Amino acid sequence: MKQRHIIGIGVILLFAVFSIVNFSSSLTPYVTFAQAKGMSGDVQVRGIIVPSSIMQGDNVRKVKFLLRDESGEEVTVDYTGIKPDGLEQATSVVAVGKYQDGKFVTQKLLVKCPSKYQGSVKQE
Amino acid sequence: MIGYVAIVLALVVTAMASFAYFNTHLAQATKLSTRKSPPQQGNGDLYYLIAALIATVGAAYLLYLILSDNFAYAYVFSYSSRQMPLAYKLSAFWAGQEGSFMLWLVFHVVFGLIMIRKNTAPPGTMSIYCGLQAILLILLLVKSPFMMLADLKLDGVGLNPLLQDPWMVIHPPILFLGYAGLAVPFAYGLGGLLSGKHESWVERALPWTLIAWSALGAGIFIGGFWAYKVLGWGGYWAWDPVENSSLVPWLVGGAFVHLLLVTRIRLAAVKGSYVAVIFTFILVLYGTFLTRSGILSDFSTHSFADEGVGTILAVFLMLTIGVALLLLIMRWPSLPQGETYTRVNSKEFILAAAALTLSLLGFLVLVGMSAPLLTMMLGNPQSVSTVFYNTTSLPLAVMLMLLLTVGPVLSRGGNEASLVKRYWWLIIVACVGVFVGIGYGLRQPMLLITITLAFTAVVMSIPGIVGGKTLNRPGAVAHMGLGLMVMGIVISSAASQSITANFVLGESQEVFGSQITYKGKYTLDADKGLYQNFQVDGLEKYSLQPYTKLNKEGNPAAREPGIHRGMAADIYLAPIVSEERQVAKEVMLKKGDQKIVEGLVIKFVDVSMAGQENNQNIRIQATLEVTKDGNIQEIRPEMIYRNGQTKVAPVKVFDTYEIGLNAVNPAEKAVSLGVRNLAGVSSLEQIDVEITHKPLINLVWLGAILITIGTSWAGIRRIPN
Repeated sequence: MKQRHIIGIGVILLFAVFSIVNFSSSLTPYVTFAQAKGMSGDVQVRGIIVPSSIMQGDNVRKVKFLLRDESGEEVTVDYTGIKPDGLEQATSVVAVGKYQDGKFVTQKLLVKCPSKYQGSVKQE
Repeated sequence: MIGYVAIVLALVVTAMASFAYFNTHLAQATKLSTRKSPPQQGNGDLYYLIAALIATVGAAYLLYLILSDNFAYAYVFSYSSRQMPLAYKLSAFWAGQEGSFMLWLVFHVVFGLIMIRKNTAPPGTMSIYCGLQAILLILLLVKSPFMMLADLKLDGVGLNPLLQDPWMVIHPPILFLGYAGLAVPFAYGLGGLLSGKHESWVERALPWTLIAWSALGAGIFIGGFWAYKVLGWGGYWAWDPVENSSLVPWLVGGAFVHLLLVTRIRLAAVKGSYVAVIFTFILVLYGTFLTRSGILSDFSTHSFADEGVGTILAVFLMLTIGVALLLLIMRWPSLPQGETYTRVNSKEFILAAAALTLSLLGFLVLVGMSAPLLTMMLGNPQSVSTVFYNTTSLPLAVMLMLLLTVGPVLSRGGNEASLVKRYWWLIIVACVGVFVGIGYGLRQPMLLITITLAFTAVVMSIPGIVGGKTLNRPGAVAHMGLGLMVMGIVISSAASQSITANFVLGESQEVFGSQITYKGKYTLDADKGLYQNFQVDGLEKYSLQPYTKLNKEGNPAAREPGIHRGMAADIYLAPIVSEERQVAKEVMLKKGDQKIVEGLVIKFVDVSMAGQENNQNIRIQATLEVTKDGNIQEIRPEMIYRNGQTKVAPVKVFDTYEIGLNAVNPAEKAVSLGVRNLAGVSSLEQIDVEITHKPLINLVWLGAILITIGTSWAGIRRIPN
C-alpha cells in the first residue's frame, strides 16, 4: 500500500469519526415529557395543545401554551420565534427543545394541520 | 376506462419490448463469442414504439380529463377545480402522487424514443430501460390517476392554494426531467456490464448524464428560490428530508460526472463510474420511496402522507438494488484494472478527489435524511437537527473549493517557474478573499477559510472562461457558479441581521438605515389575497408588500414576505401575525397587583381552590376586577383539572375582551392570565414584523444560474451529431 493511499484513508477515517460524533450529538429523539426531564440534549415532544391555552409573552417573539403529550402529561411550552401558521387549528404539534425549570423551552415547532395538504378524497 | 386500459396495455407491450431486447442481447453475445457476422436487430424497437404510443395516449387522456373538468375522476376532483386558471389546471397534472408518476413516465418514454431514434443504445441497455419503464407503469396501476368517484361532483377541491404559484408550473417538471433523465445513464451502465463493453457506453452516457444532472440541479435551485419567498418553508434551504432526497442524487450524480471524465482518460476508473451510476439512480428511487411512502410525514413539512404506495416502492427499490449490484459483483473481477491516477498533481487526481468529496457529501446528507428510518430499526425514530448538516458539510465545501482553486492552476501546464508565479498570484487573490470575509463581519476561522477559498475558486475559473480550451469553458462556468453560490450561502447566512419591530399605521421607524412607514393593507385579485403595504425611504425608494393568500373560505392559506432584491443585499420583511391579533397576551399578576393591558386595568383580587389535590379534580378560580373607561366589572375565570387534564375557561368582559386563567403559582399567590382583544387590531391598526437584511443572497441565485448554464452547455456540446 502506497503512502498517499494511507494518507487518503486516514483523512477519510478522521472525517468519518467527525461525522459520527456530529450525527449522534444532533439526534433528537421523540420522548414524553417524563423522559425529557432527565435528558440534557435536544429532544422532540409530540402532543396536542390544550384548547385556549395559547398566549403571547412579553414580546411578539414569545409564545406559550400547554402541551399534552402522548402519555397525557401537560407541560408549559415556552417558544421563542415567529408563531407558526395554524397553531390554533393544529391537530398535532411537535416541539423540539429542552426541559428547563418546569417548562419545555423550544425554538422550533412542527405544526401538523388538518388542511395543510389536501390528500385523498377520504379526508373530505 | 381508456386511461386504465392504456396503462395495462403499455405495461404488457413494454414487457414484450424488454424481452425482445434481451433476446437480441443474448443473440449478440453468443454470436460475438463465436465470431460470426453482425447480429440482426430484434423486434424490440417496434414493441417500444407501440408501448410509447399507448403510454402517450394514457397521459394525454389524463390531461384531457383535467382540462375538460371531468370531476368524476378522483384525481381531477382532488387537484383541479372549474375556476382555476389554465396554468394551474396544467400543474394539477403533477400536483398529486399519481399524476407526478405519470409525468415521470412521459419523460421516460420521450427519452426512450430519442435513444431508439439515435440508435446508440445496445439491446442490453434498452432491455434494462424497458424494465424501469415497466416499474413506472406498475406504480401507475397501483396508484392510478384514473380512479372514478362513486358520487357525482360538480366541482373539484382545487389545487392547494399554497401550490397555486407560477413556480408550481415549472419546478416539478424540471425536477422530474432530471429524475427520468438519470435512468438513461443507469441503463447504459448496466448495459455496459451486461455486454462487457466497458468503454463504449461512457461516451454515450456523458451528454445524457450532464443534461439530466443539469435539469435535476435546476429543479432543486428553482425549489430553493420558491421556498425563499414562502413563509414557513424555512428559507431557500431547510435541510428538509424532501429537499435532501433530491440533493443526494444530485451530489452523487456530480461524482458520477467527474468519474466519467476520469474514465475517458483512464479506463481503470470505469469501476468507479459503474458504482456511481448505479448509486445515483438508486438514490433517485430511494428519495422517491422516502418522500412518498409517508415514513417521513412526522419529520418533514413537504412530505406526502402515506397513501399505500410505500410497500411497492420498497419492493422495486430492493429489486433494482439487487439486480444492479448482483450484475456489478459478477462482472467486478473482469473489469479493467490499473491506476486511476499516477501523480497527485494530475487532472485525473483532481477529478477523482472532486468525485470522492461529492460522494462523501452525498453520503452525509443521505445518512442525515435517513436518520428516522435508521433509528426506527433501533426502536425509537429520531431525526437529526440541521446543525448536523451545517457542521459536517462545511469541511467538505472547503475541500471542494480547494480543489476548484488548485485544479485550474495545475491544468494549465507550463514549466516550474510559471507554476511558482501562478501560486504567488493565488496568494494575493486569497488575501483579497480574506478581506472580503472580514469586511462582511465574518470572524469564525472556518467560515473565513471557506469564503477565502470560494473567492479564489471564482477568480481561478476566470481564465478558463476567457481563454482556455473551448471544451473546458462550460465546466469553468459551472465551477464559477459553485464558488459564487458558496460565497452567497456563507455571507448571506453568517452576516444576516434581523430585527423585530411593531408598526402603527402611518408611523415611520428607522431600520437598517432607511425610514420604513406602514401604509396599511389592501386587497387585490377579487379578495383572493391581502397585501400589507410598507413604504421604504432611504437611498432607494421602494415598497415592501407582504402578501397573505386567502382560500375559498377567506382564511389565510399561504403567506409571502415582502422582499426588496438589491444588488448588495435583500431586505426581507415578514409579518409575525398575518391577521388580527388572535393570540391572548400573557399577564402575570401577584395578589393585589394591577396592570394595564389592551386598554383594560386588571386587578388580581384573590384566588380560590375547590377539591382535593389527590383526588385529581380541582377547580381553581381567580377573582379579578377589570376597569375600562371608569366602569368596573368583576369576573371569575376558572381553570379545571380533571383526570390530569387541564381545561381553561376564559370569561368575556366588556363585550370584546376575553380573559382566561392559564396558570397558578400557589406558593407566590401569583396567576398567569391570557387577555385577548376579540375586536382585533382594527381600532389600532398595528402590525408586528421581522425585518431581515440578507447581504449577497443574490450570489446564491447567480451561482445557481451559472451552474445550470455550465452543466447543460457541457451536455449539449457533447451530443454527437
